[in-house]
Amino acid sequence: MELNRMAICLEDLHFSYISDQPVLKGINLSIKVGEKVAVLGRNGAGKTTLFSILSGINHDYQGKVTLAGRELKQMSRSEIAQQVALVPQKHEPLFPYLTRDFIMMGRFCSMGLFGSPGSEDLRIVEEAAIETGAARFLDRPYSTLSGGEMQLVLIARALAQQSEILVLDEPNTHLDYRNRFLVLDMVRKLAEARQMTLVMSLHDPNDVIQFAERVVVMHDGRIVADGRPVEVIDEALLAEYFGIRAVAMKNAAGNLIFKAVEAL
Amino acid sequence: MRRLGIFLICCAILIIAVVLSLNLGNFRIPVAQVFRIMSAKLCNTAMPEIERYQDVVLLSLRLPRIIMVLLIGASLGISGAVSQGIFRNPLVSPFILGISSGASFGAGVAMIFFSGLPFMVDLGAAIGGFGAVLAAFLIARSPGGFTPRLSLVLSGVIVSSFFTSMVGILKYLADSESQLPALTFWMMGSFASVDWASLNPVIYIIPLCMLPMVIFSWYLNILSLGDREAMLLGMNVERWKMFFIALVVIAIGSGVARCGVIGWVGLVIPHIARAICGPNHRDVVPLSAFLGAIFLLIADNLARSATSGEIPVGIVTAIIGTPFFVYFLRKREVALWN
Repeated sequence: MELNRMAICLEDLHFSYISDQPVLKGINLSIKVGEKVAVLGRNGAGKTTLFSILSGINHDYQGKVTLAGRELKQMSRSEIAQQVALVPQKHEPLFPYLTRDFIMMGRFCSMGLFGSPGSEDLRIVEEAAIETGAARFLDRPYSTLSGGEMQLVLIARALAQQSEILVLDEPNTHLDYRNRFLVLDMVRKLAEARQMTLVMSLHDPNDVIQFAERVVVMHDGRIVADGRPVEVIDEALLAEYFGIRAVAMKNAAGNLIFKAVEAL
Repeated sequence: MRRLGIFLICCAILIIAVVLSLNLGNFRIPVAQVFRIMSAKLCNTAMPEIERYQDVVLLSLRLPRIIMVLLIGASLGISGAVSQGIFRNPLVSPFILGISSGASFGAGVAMIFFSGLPFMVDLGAAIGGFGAVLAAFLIARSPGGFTPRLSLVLSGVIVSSFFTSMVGILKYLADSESQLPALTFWMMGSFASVDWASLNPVIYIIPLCMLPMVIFSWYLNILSLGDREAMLLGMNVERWKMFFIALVVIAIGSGVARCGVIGWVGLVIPHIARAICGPNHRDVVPLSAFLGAIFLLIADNLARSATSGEIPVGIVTAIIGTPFFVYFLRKREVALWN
């Protein structure tokens, strides 16, 4: 693999849902293949909007978005899905599909017009389930799973897309303490094993430091900081963009951690 | 294996139901005699000794009627499954969405004003059906592009009652000697006047609409996740929704044009199918076609043999269908409404 190849390239990206109320105000960002990037920002900073542009849902943006060198607007939906797999925060189940059938839906983008799942697709689904630890409930309905298990299945479905870029929108928001760690740890290892580019929005600076090698801080539709987490995140940044007074400290292993003290 | 088993059982039930339907009626024909006449006809050999009119009743009245019932039953069942998938809503059917009443209005207009031209009734039904589903969808859609489940049901009811009242106006305009009785009886949904000629073009249109629904049934799984997720998985959502809606409207419209509005089949059948084979649309869609055909055949047999006269079949399906709907609402209650 060419190491310095760009996976994602955003140039002067603007977007607004309602005219005169821009959500993204000129984003410039390049992410290399295989990079593990966390996007940090308060609610409403534009993270989710940025992700829906990356995954081809919001098409009417201004500026330039290229995925693996190709202009996003010229790609079909299935081509985009082959490049970018987005794991949504949550999926509200309606029909109680079996987990196996649910993960199988990730194969849609790779099928031809008259395609329906075959044995090769089944193998890919089972592989994704094993890697995410979802294999043990493949034959249970998705709607009966716990929140943590659902998240694993959503990630397995994204893996089944076999895309180069994995985008996670707040992957651990709805999870308990143990599952929060489990999911992020697993995603990091998966991205390494599969040499995928990882882009995830996170809320906890400590998670960013632990699980990402690069952080992009967004505030009010702009990127205000970008770099290695331990260099970028400090008390001043947390105060200015998150309105929180936090103290930096080292844990027993010598790693930087932040503890929030009061809201400013 | 399980899939094959269900398929074989459905085929067996269907064949038994067809044979019994040929036998049943005010003019009874013994099963053995049914087989003799059918095989004589199929092999083109001499007719066996028969009572007067047995062959006429069987071949010219009952057989085309049964074929029509099977076609329309299958189209109602499969369209219900497809609608529930694309609208991500287990409470809808072509009937609830107003497609049936829209189609009946379109067909009624064609019957009264363009009665001389061939296939105008079918065309009118399709146009009316499209108008109805579009209206129901636009009324229910909130500004953000999100369609709440209950709103869609309610707007379907609104559209449905609008078109029903428009049909009332048509009745008022219709010639009370020649047009009104036919219009009224057709409106209630009936197979009483089916003959070989009336099977054209339904016998082509319905299978041609059902085939792509079955071929692409797996796509309904993706659509049923909701617009946003279907897009994430790489689906061109608008295009595929339109594709499926068009198939449903054409299939339902052509049935309505011939035999009027028959409710409840499309709502009830997919739920029974899901109870048998699980929620995967790859199984639900073809099974709903089978079950719809079997259900409507049983309903039609009741309609024509329960009393000495003939009850419109739409009344029978409503009598069976409404308690089921109540049961379903009580069982699943709140979760579905949000």
